[in-house]
Amino acid sequence: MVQYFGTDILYTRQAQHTHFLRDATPESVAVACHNPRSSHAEVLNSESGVALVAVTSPAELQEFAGQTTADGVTYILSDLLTLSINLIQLETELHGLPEYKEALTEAAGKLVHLTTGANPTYEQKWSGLSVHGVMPGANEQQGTSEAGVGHVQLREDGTVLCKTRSLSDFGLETVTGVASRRAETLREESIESRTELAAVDSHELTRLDGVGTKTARKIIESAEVIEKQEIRVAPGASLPDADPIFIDIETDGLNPTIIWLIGVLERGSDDRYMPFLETDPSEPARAVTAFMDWLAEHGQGCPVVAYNGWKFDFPVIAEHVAEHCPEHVETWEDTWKFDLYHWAVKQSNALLPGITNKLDDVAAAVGWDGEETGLTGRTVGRRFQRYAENPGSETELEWERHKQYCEDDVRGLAHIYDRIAETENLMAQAGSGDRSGSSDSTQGTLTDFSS
Amino acid sequence: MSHDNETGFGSVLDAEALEESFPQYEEQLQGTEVDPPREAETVPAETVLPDELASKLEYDLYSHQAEALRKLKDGKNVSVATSTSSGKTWVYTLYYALRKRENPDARALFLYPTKALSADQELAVNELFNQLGVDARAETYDGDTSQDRRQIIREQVDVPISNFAGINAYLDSHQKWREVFANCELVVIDEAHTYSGVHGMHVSWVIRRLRRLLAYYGADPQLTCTTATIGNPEEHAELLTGAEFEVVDSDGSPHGRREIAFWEPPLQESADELVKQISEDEILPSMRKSASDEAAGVLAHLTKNEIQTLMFADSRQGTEIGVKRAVEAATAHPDSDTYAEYAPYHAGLSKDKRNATEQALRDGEVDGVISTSALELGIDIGSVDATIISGYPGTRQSFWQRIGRAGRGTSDSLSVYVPQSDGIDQYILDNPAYLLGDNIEDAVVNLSNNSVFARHLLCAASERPVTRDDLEWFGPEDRLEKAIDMWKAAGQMVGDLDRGAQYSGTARPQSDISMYTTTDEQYEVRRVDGEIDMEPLDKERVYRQYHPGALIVYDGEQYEVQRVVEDTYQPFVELHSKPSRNYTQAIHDKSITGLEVDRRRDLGGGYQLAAGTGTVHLNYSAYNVLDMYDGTVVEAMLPIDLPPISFRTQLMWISFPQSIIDHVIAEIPEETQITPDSDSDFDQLGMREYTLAGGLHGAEHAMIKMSPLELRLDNDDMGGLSQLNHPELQSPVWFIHDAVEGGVGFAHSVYDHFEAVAQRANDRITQCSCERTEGCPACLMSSQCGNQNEPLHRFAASSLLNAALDQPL
Repeated sequence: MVQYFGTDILYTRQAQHTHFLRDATPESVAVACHNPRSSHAEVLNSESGVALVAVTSPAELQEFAGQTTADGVTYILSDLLTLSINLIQLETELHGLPEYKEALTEAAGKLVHLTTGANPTYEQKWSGLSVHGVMPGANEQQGTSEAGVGHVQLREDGTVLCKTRSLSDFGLETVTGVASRRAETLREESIESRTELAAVDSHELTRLDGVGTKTARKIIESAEVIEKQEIRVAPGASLPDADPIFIDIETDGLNPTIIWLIGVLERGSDDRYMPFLETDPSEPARAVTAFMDWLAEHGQGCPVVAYNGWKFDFPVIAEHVAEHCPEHVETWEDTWKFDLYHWAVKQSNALLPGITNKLDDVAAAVGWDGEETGLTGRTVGRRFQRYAENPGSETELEWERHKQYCEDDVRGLAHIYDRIAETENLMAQAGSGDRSGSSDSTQGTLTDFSS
Repeated sequence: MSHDNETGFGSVLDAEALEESFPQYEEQLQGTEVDPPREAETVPAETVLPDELASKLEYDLYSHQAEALRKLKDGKNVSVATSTSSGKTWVYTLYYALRKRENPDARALFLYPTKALSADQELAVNELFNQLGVDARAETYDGDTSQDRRQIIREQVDVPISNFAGINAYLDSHQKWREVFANCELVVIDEAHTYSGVHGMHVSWVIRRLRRLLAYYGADPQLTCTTATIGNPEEHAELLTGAEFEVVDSDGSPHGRREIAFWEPPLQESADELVKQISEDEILPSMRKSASDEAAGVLAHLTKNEIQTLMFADSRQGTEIGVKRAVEAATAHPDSDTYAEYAPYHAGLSKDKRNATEQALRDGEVDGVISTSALELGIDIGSVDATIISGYPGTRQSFWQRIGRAGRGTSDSLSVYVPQSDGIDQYILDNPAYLLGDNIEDAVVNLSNNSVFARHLLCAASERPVTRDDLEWFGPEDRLEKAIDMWKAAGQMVGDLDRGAQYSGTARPQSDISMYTTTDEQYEVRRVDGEIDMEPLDKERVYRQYHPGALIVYDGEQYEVQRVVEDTYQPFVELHSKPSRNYTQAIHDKSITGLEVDRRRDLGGGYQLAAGTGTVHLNYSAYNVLDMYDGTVVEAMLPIDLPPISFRTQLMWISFPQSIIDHVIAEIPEETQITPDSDSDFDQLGMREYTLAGGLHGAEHAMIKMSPLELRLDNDDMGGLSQLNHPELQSPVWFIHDAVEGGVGFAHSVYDHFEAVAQRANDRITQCSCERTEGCPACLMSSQCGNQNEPLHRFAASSLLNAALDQPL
């Protein structure tokens, strides 16, 4: 996990875990914990203008505040602010705010307040204070309901990027066919890591409850694939035989009112990349219309490739075409659409390495050296919403940066596609394919045998 | 198994005849009520339907079907509130057929409360389309529908059939439903009366979210509700949907003469000795034989007389045991020539077994069937000659539905009602006219629970941005703005009503909705020794009824709660099967603080009736295990290891002037005043105070017990508290509060129906045959009481109720 994220500081609320964590992680990682007996603010790390300081009481905070200067940005981590949502009274409160604010009267410089009393995706301004949550599972009402690890990136400009991983994103549970119960069973059999699992013999697994030969082989193969970071395709599986057009879209949410960025990579013209960007939230038609104009003219006969397109990109485009450029409805309906994720995972045409099947995990596992942005589609969507609600320099997105992220994603997709196309590794266990494309069965019928 | 109706059932259930023919007859037959026959009122189909369709129908329409169609054709939303088997399905299916003729693209949504009903209706509706020669199809779209089929239904099927839990989830991807929504001309909400209480609240909001999206896609469909007879069909439909309705409730369907015999179980043998020592008046209802045993005896008697009979029992075990008893009783019956065949029926039996029994009923191959409510409606079993109802099923509608199973076509039918020993049953035994009365229970739907509102608002905001236009669905404005501000500060929403407020959270808010609880702290129910299909529970309910050691009954089976696990992300209750003759009663301390008044009626003289909100504080400390049949304590004061709980909810109260104590003491027989035991919590109270406390407590219990006679609710949807002197009100008072966080509208309904409920409570108290000062389980004692039913004083309670009723209300 530490390797995966490139962590500087590992923070836990429970002191008894620190020894274990120190032993398990390399020297470069500092392990810190919540220390209720401390009497002073503790500086956890400080470099190039960014400092992370832990405090455990308003008194410590006040003392520390007196020492702050106007340089750089200081992130203050505490459990002093807790988010509480009262649905009966229809009120949200940040407990501890008055005392916290009081303690900061002497403070100078840019301060960002991190609290373990809220989830990692939480960011709000309270009485002028920038408050960010960092604790996965802190508040169920905010959408998370299981334990996890929050990875927080503290930037020089005062922005916080947070990525939450659930525990099942690491170790045994990354393997297809292994969820928490089976992981428990495996651990009882002294199979404790993915490497060990990949090396195990299939009939060792078939001894376990509910694991038949087929399942055992599938599990081992999945472990192997992730360990070796190689792609395997099912025998006979094939990608479209025309030059693909890779796309990725950015919207203002899951039920979007606007598609404001469509990134397009056209394989057929030497990987030309084109962004269709709309920066005015009140113009939901322009980007999608421009894209469709282009597609109608240049894209016929080529598959439009997206990752998990059937779940999001394709239906969203369909809806927005119908609403904003209905003259292109038929064009879109006639367009050849290819969802790489669906083809590989749902139709069992390929085994992808990567600790999950998410685009960035797979891309990273096949050697794509992309930008680690820490941004999810939803986060970006929310930022756009915020901008749309309150246009201004504070909320405006960094368009260039987002164009770059989008391009990065599209190129990552293309990279995976290419690796799949060129791999010679075959799946040992051809998938049972829940919805295999090949529904042409050549099974004989009874009539074949009757005379 | 036909019976000659000319001689009527009188010859079988005539008191003299029974002396002869019924084994050990002990004058159980208390009387009969008669519901006179009603002829069909029909209207030729041509008067409302075009000839093309009318000609395809074999029979004329019932008057209510025609009236409903007329109103629908006028563009109204209609609620059809007539009895079961009155052809309500035909109303909306015919209306859709009419729309389809005018517009081949017209679509409709038919929504049912259960999957079983959906499946039944899908067949019925398609058959009707066939018969009418209409080129239309209906098909079920729910959790069981395969992915491939889903797309086809959305794109091609005229009438998707579904349920509200499904709709709640599907609205998240409403773009996929664009075709259906844009062309939707009719939305049908079937069995609407089932949507009340907590579930009704959730359904009301889902309907609003649905209508909002229909409007977004440019549709403005008509709404049709079908409902059983409830006291307030118009109000209910309007609260449920937010639209205006016209009600059709003059039922044109026919039925024959219905005779209802009241059969009171005799004393148990074990009580015989005791009975010799006490006077007739001191017989407690609970000393009598259990209703189900007695009913099985009646079943045997009827079937031996060649009357095909269907008996309803309240549990699966009850049906199995009942069959055994019936066989025993039949064997002991003097008439040994006739051989009778019996079978049980309940949802736990295999489909094959159930089909076989249904068929046997239709063919007359089985004489007596004992069933749970599974056979109350829907399934075609032809008609039996008689029904036996063991224990009041909770609502009049349910009662009549069971009775309605008897009687072929318009021929006469017989029903035998065997009451149990509890309050409602005894009330009905004393006041049989209640069953035939016009005053029907109101269904309660209430939208004031903020917690439920806020969560549906979040869903709506994720479906489309919420703007001022949405005040129609989610107003009033101040509550909506408050909720939006709350969600924004919580990081779940962005924007405002002017530019649109959108959901900005990470998970799908629709999956956070549990249609049967009011908070998001839902406890899953798990069974260690098998499967159980139960909706998640609210914390309040878990602490009250599902604490470790609790004995509960669900879907006809009995369980014991093993443990309650709370310190995980998904709290749960673990239970295992445990058949038992016991039940448990939790003991608690309760207080109510933070009173806020919404409405009040000052009755003068220091009497005040109020409805509002308050915080209920509960500490469940121990529980007793009691015997179901004789009420004795089997195990006392077993500890409950749960922390105190408090929640804010809706409540009502009535407070009395301090001088009431004099009034009450003066009215009751002096020798009945009660004193507290030296080891009781009340030991510092004097006789007068303790007696008054007994009156307040008793009246509170009685009102809660009797409210199901006026409102569609269960006793355990509400709780109560009585105090000699409440700190905030500074007066003697009793409260009735909703049992869930945020409230559901029940307590407020009791406020609205105070006189009626108080009157029924008073009637029950004064009529109770126990005639004991401390009352009995049939009048004052409650199995929910956290104070072990102390103190209770029947005369004082009656005095208080009378005093309240005498005020100019």
